[in-house]
This record gives sequence, structure tokens and C-alpha cells, in this order.
Amino acid sequence: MKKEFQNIEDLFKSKFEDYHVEPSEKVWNTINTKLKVRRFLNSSFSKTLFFSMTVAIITLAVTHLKDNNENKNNLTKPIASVYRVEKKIKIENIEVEKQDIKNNSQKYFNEQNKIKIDKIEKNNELIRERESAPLIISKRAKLIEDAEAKLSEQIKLTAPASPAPAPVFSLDEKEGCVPFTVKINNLSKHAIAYEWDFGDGNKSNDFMPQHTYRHPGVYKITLKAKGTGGVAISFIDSIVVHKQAHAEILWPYESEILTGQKIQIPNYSKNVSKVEWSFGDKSVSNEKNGQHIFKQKGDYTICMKIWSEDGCVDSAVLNNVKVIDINEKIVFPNAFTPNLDGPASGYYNPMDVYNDVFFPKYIGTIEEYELRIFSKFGVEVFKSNDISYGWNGYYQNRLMPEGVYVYIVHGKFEGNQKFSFKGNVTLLHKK
Amino acid sequence: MMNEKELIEQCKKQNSKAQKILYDRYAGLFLGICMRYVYERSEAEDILQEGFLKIFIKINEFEGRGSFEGWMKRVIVNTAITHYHKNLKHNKYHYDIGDVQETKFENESYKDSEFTGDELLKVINSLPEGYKMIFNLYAIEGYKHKEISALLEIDINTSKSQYSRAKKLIRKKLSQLKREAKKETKTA
Repeated sequence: MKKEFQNIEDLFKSKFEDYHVEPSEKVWNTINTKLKVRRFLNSSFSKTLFFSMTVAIITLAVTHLKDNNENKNNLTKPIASVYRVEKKIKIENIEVEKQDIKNNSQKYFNEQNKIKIDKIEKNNELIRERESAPLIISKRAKLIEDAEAKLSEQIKLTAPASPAPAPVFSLDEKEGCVPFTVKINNLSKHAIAYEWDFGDGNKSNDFMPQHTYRHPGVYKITLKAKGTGGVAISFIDSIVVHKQAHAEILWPYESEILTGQKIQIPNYSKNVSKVEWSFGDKSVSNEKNGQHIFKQKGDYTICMKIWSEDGCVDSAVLNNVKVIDINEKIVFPNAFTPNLDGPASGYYNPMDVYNDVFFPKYIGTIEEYELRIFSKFGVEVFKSNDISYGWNGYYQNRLMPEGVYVYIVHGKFEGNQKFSFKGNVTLLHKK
Repeated sequence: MMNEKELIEQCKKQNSKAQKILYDRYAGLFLGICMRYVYERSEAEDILQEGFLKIFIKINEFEGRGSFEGWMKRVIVNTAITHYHKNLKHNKYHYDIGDVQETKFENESYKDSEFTGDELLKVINSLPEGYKMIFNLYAIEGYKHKEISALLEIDINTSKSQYSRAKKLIRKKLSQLKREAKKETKTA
């Protein structure tokens, strides 16, 4: 790979596009822990869990109290976590909750500890006062971080012991058209491994698999879940997959169409019960084949939408349908036969029957014009800005070989109607 | 194997397996980016960690219109910029240098094989912090001066002039590197 760069930007860009540095393991561990805490806090959790957590935190607070005696600064950490939890869950009636927490904690602690809990309450108020005052943001973030780390430890401790697995899942949609991708939400509880059977011979062991049905039919989805508490099975049947509707139309015209010209677009769609055409000029039609007359020049997008009996939808679109005014038109022939005895004059006679000069036929007045012709090797063999000057098939006074040449033309009619297109022309040697 | 779309879907549902896959796929590349914005590896890892957390948390905001990798890169770069602002406020190592002496370079052309990525990283890290930010954002990330001036909260002309100074410094360093390499081959 020997690349050379003209400037610094390209050198650096190319070097750093794929520059990897392997991160140490602790990065993921930190991220993972924080995500776990988030997931836990965000999940719909029951009151009991909330209590056990709060209790766990108070336990923590009490141990901290023991360790640090009257040190108020150290106390802030665990209490900050209680505060955060309350905030997160947005429980409205804080007063009631507080009473509950107290009752609950009393079950866990003996009389001696009660005095200390009172102290926590006092400190709690102190913290709340502080909360209202602007705390240094980084310091607060640190507190929350510490609290989250402590919480994640507690989560591990309070995890329940092996109940039976409960495989449950829901489907976003139970009916669809081929190819139908079914989206499954796995709502199972107490399970560690899953086995899905999609009813069409396909299986998966993913937690939340996605499966695409490629053939119409009725299928049964079965989920088998394994947990430390055993194996259980559940299923929802009747996923209905319908045959797809297939939209296909063919544009039958080779050149631009004209205003006032009646067009007819054949429709080869399959499995159709309803058709809707829109022609891009606000007119619609429900006929099988698209019939239309454009009244104004312009670029149109024609769209056909079809429905099957089962409600499956498909559509076909024709982009950039050019409709031009009958008074403004330019066309080129697709072949010509240069004079083999020597170059003919490029200034052609429009009524010429020899066809030895390549030139356009046009209606209207052309204000700007540029024609360029290229050989198949990309060499520009002809260029003209004069519409009355065409190509005689010679390049540097030598007759060009037979074959296909590409022309690119653009310009402007009087009144600003622009044209720009390219095409092929075959050069033939004919005696 | 999950494709990108599925992976994004699963990450949106906070599926931890998918998050790990996403992390494994991009952590190396993104740490490579972070390394360009700070001077210490540990700092770069902090940004990586913070950036990935943001990606996982904000993934629902990704609407799937543009490139997912590009979106993630922007999150990482924005995290690096936030980090830069924090440091600026604490004024750890912010300083300015005077005009760099103009040196003539006969022709500016660099071969891909002449430098390794690590060498170029060292060159970037030899720049003062402000220059480094602008060079990274403009030359490598492809941000416009207008965007940079908004992100770094500086005047657009400051961004332009600092960028050209950064470039001069880098040219100097690159030609030094070239000379050193020549010497080494001669002595060897």
C-alpha cells in the first residue's frame, strides 16, 4: 500500500481512519456496572424490592455510622443514595413512604439502633437543605456514582433464590405479508436459557430473536425456557403470513413524452385486488393500466400502489418522467455513417439523406448548446457549441473506428427550458 | 451474528448482550479517537467510558437516518470536548504560544509508509491543547471552522488562525521525523 498525500489533512485522516487502541478491561467493567444499576433503577420494580433496597441502604448507613462515629462528612455518602432512589422512583407521597421505611427498619434493628436512625433522619434533613443550595456539580456526581456502586453490590445480595422459570412473550404483530419479520418481546422471568421454535423448521437460542417468514402460511411459535428452577414451555399460535402483492409496471416509451400525448402504462402486477395510480400532477386513477394525458411540461413521478385481497401492499414508482412541450424538443439519431472517402463538412444540411454527419433534430429556438462525444476509452473526439455544426466521424483528421460512442448534450431553449442528457450513437462504416 | 440494525434495536431495548457486542466492535476504534484528544491514556479511557455510557443511554435518540458509526463518533468527540472544557476551567495545562517561525518546505508530500499511527499520535500530542483540539476536529474529524468555534466557544477567526499555526507546527515535526529516519538508515 504505497499512498502518497499532497497535504497533511489527508495523511492524518487516512492514518487515523482505522487507528485502534485496545482499551483495558476495567473500562467495560465500569460501563457494565453503571448500566446494570440504570437498568435496575429504570425497571418497574415492586414496593417490596424498594423496601429491601432502602433497608439495605440504611443498614449501610448504620455501618458507616459505626465506623465513622460522629463524622458528618462521611455520613453524606449513603444518605445521598437514599435521596437519589426516592427521586428516581418519583413516589408522590414521600411522607407515607418515610413512615413505611421507618416501620420496616424497626423490624430489622433493635432498640439500640433506633437512636442512630433518628440521627440519620436529622442528617437527611441536613442533606435536603444542602440539596437546595447549589452543590458543586462534580462533587455531587461523585456522590451519585459512589451510591450507584454501593447499590449494585446490594442488588447482588438481595437477588431471590431459583424460582421456576416463567416463559412469556408477546408479539408486535400477529399477521403480515411475505417476507414477514416477526418481532418478539421476551418477557420471561427466572430463566437463563431459551429455545425458540418458529414452526417453519427454524430455531433460535437468542434472548430476543427476530425471525423472517419467507412463505405464506400459518405458523406456531413455541418458547421453551430453562432456569435454575426447571424447564417450562409456552406458545402463541396462529401467526398468519399472507402471500405478498407484487407490483410491476413497464415504461413503454423510449423518448420523452409530449404534452397532450395519451400514455398507457401496462401493469404486470400479481395478486392484486385494488390499484391506485398517481401521476404526480394531482390526478389519480383506479384503472388497471395507467392511462393519462399530461397537460403541462415538467418532471413527474408516477406511482402505482396495489393491494392484495389480504391487505398486503406493494408499490412501483417511475421517477423522472420527462414531459416536454410539443414546441420544444431535441432528439439525436442512434447511428450514422461517416463519409469513408474523407471528412464531410460538419455544417450539415438538415434535409441531408446521406446521414454522414451526426446532428440533432429539434423544434423550437435553442439559445445555448454544447455537444461532446466520447470514444469508449473516454477520449473526447468531438465538441461543439454550435447546433448547426455536427460530427463527421473524424478525429484529428482520421476516420474513427466502428463502434458505440457516448454523447453528452446540454443547453437551453428560448424561455429558459433547459435540457441535459446523454446517449449512445453507433458509428458505422458503410460503402 | 447480528447485523447493525438488529444490534441497534437490541441496544435500544437495553439488552446487555448487544451492548457488549457493540462495545467490543467499536471500543478499540473509539479509544484511538480519544487518545488524540488528551495526553494521558487513563484520561482517554475515562472519556471512552463516559462516551459509551452516553451512547447506550441516548441510543433511543438515534433515528437511523445517518450512519450509526458517525453518530457514535460524534458522541465520543463531544464527550472529549466537554472534558476539554472542564480541564480549561480547572486550568490544568492551558497555555498559549507565540507565533511559530515560518519555515519553508519545498514540496508538501507525504508517503503513507513514512509514518506509523503511533508516531502521528505523538506529533498530535506534542501540540498545545487548544491547537490539538482544533487540528483533530478540523483535519481528522472534518468539522467546519464554524462548528468548531461553536463547540470550543472561540471566535471563528481564532479557530482558523490556530489551525494554520497547528499545521505549521505539525509540518515541522513531520520533517524532523523524516530527517531522524534518514539518519537512522544512514547509521545502520
